[in-house]
Amino acid sequence: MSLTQMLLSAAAQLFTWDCLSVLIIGVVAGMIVGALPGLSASMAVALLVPLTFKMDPAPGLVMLTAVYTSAIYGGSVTACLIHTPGTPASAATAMDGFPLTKKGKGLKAVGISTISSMIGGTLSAVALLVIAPQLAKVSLWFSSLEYFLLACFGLTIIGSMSGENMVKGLISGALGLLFGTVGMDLLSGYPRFTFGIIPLESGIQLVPAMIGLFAISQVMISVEELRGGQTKILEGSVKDLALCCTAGDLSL
Amino acid sequence: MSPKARESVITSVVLLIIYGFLFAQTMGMPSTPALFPRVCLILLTVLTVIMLYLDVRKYAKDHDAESGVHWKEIAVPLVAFAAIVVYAVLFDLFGYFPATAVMLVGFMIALKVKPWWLILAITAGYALFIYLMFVVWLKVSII
Repeated sequence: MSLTQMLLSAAAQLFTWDCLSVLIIGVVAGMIVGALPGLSASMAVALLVPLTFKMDPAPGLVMLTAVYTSAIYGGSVTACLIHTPGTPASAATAMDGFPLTKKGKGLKAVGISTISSMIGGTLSAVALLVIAPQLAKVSLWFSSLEYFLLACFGLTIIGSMSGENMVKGLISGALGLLFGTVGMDLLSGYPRFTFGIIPLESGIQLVPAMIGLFAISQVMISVEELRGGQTKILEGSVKDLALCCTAGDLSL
Repeated sequence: MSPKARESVITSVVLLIIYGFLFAQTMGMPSTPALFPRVCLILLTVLTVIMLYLDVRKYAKDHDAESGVHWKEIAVPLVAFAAIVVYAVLFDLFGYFPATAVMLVGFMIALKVKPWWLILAITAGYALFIYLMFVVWLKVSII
């Protein structure tokens, strides 16, 4: 079967009332779950798997895919509005989105995030459809050298995030590496820095770490501001109630 | 020494003590699992010393540089953090719903939310939403 025939077959299965209705339900449910800090996209899928058991394969898969992708996007809503990423993928969104909210442009921040997520999601889906088989072949060539370089590339991101104080940025990165060593060593099975606490043997999970870093720190900042007499999160008035954004807003 | 430089010295010394404690922990580990934490700790020690040197050089003569830590300012956030720790303890002792209700009511009273019926409505509404969504619909057992 050619690619065109496969696409037509998939489209024929997608554009049915069953698929479209579960698609809408999945998108809304995924956005709600994604917006709840502490519930990640994979948790949303895990929670909804039992509901899809009685469905046909196509609507079931559509619902799970819709829940997963919209939950990733849903995390950016709380990341922009209350500086608490709903999912780990939205952690970077909080850094740019919340300052916009404080300036009274919260809806614009959510709008930019929505459009960016849509563009990224669509391009990823097309890439998955078209170049995934070729990409899989390339990934098989990866050895330890390439993985090491990939890790180095990840660490260089610290340079762009740490602004003026590079040393503090590098300390943050090294602390992250150190926290990553907590738990059972993969090679020897020896528990490191667990201090006898059994749940720590599986390491520090991303969701609790994210809640601690973003949500609790934001609670402490908000409490300080509110007790200090500040009654509003916004620094100024709400300037723009338009959810949509212009091409200029999306440019770098 | 300016307050800012003193603050940097205290922060760096506390960090170095923590690194020392963690390094001592690695001494009891077999060599293979201890290797990577030791590398990280040595790297952190070097970076912290560099940070200390740069900060002291920057702020040593700048007596106008104000300290970023004022006890009056951080007292309330620290109390909030302590309240979250108490919440975690209550969570284990009494379960999710009673602990969450106590924490929500306590925080709203502390933050001067009025009137009282709003506090009760938010607490009851939140508990009801979580109960219906997770316990009834998704069949998740919440402690």
